Amino acid sequence: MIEIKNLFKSYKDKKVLQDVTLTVEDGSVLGLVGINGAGKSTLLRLLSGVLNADGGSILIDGEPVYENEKVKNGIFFLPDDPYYGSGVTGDSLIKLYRQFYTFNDSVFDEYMQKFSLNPQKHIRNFSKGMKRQLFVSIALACKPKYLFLDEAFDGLDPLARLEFKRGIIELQQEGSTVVIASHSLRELEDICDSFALLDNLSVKSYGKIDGALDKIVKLQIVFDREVSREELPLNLVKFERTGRVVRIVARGEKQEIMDRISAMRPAVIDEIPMDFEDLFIAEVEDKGYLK
Amino acid sequence: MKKYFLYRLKKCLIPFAVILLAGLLFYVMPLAIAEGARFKIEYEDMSYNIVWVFIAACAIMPVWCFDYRTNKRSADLYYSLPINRTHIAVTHFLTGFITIVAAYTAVFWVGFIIIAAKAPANFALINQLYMYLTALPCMYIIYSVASFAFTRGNNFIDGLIFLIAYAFALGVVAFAVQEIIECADDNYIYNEDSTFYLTFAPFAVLNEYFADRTAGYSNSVLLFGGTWGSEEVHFLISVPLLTIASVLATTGLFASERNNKAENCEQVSDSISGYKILLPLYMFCMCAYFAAVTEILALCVTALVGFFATVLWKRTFKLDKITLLIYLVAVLAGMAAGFTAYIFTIT
Repeated sequence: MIEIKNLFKSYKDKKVLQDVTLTVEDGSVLGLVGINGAGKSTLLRLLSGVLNADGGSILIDGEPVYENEKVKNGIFFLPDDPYYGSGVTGDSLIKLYRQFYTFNDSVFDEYMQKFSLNPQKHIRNFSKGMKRQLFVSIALACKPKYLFLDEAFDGLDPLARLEFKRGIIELQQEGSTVVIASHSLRELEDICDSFALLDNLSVKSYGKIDGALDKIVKLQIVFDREVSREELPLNLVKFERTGRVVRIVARGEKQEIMDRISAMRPAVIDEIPMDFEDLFIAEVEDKGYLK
Repeated sequence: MKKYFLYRLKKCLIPFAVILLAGLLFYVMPLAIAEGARFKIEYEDMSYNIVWVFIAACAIMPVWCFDYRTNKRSADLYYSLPINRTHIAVTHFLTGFITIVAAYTAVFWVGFIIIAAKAPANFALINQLYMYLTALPCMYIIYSVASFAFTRGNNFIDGLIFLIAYAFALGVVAFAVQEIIECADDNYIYNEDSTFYLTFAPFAVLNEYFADRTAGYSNSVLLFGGTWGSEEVHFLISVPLLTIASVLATTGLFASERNNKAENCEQVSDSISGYKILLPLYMFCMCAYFAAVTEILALCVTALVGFFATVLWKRTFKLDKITLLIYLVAVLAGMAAGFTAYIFTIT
């Protein structure tokens, strides 16, 4: 289990994370989301022991992470731009990881075949997507207990994404815990069972994705007149109006919201299915991002 | 850690091959092609070649070993692996030095075989063994100080600058002190002894000492010219000082590793052991020297160069008050020391 309590991190005078508290249960796949600069990469680096927190604690299986070889034996961190030296091939890169992890050659070979990659070739000659495929294959082959991925889907084609998601699910079924930071919310929704939204230096909301989507409703309503935002007796996250047609995103129990809207005798009420991306957009727009 | 140590040792095969090749090219080959009749005459010059090759190796190897600290992406990789920072540093440090020693051993003893085969009968070959044994701690001094210096930089360029600056730091201090004393005391005779305080001085001096005795040019116990003089004194002072520097460098390198911040990679190098010490030190010494010899133009140029070096360090002309104060104190204190010595001369 990952327990983060009152975590603080600054880069010189710039605060990046402030009072972050979060628990990630064993065997879960957590989607870490947030706008650009929210601190997702920093949080992943803190979880991996790359950075040291300025305050608070990060405990993995009850022990602090930073400079703890025993805990880090079970952690694999794949950053958004992984490092490889000049003249390095896939095979020579694997030799480094073999020193620290129990490397599953059959899993690696399987992904190399699926992605049609030759690990004997120089990595510098790979395209961006091919590099990502290689590193993803290495990450899955190391079978870590905790896998931390930063922008893992970036550069992967749709088929490669599918294979990668299958790999993560298999890892989860074997008992691993995965934390993925990504802007590809549709991909996250396919594999994540929980999420954490980083905003304004801390975790603004987190929990099960299904649970979060149950508490927010997106409706398109046609009234017989133009209706203002103030007239709607709801906890509105988003309000758009085009003439008599209103599109809203509201927090609360769906039935209660429908009852309140119905009381205003609209001509039409249509529920629009909400996905994770809609939830994210609604949450961050509510905070005034890009307004 | 053991597994990673062995992995790292295998990775060092390439730099080992490069150093070995350089040693064979610049030391062994000249010995091999030297004419038998002139071998004794040419040997003394040729014996320096191994020194220059391995001074370069000891200075450059730390760059290869610790380059991972100067790049954000490589820091992400190494610091996320299940090995703590100190163990990484120890592994890279030791494997680097082992590589140098292995290459030196191979080059030296291949050279010895050629010397033994070609040298005249009066060559005292036992001195070659002493030469080899004394070279090892001398190379460690260069390597440890270079490793410490390079790792004070948050980026590659700063690391290189610190590497060079630390190699000459004690020498610059000795140079300034001797110039000031010479100015203040007419009886003091300056004879370029500050070079003994460079990190590679013991290596070069002892190599020459044992080369002379190998070739039979000297059998005196004393180091220089068979007479006790200031060179002897300076060498006997510099060796303990450089040894202390080496011990401090090794300790400092490993002690500071745990708290090495990955977020500092590629940022302005703000280590207390970096520009914060080196710039004021060099400014003080050079200003003291030019003030003592009343080279006012050179003094002004030095102060200006120091200012621009400070600007380059901070990457801005808007220097904070503390940095500006340190710069001014170093320049003014150096000028005061130099002019005080000059006043002693004229009074």
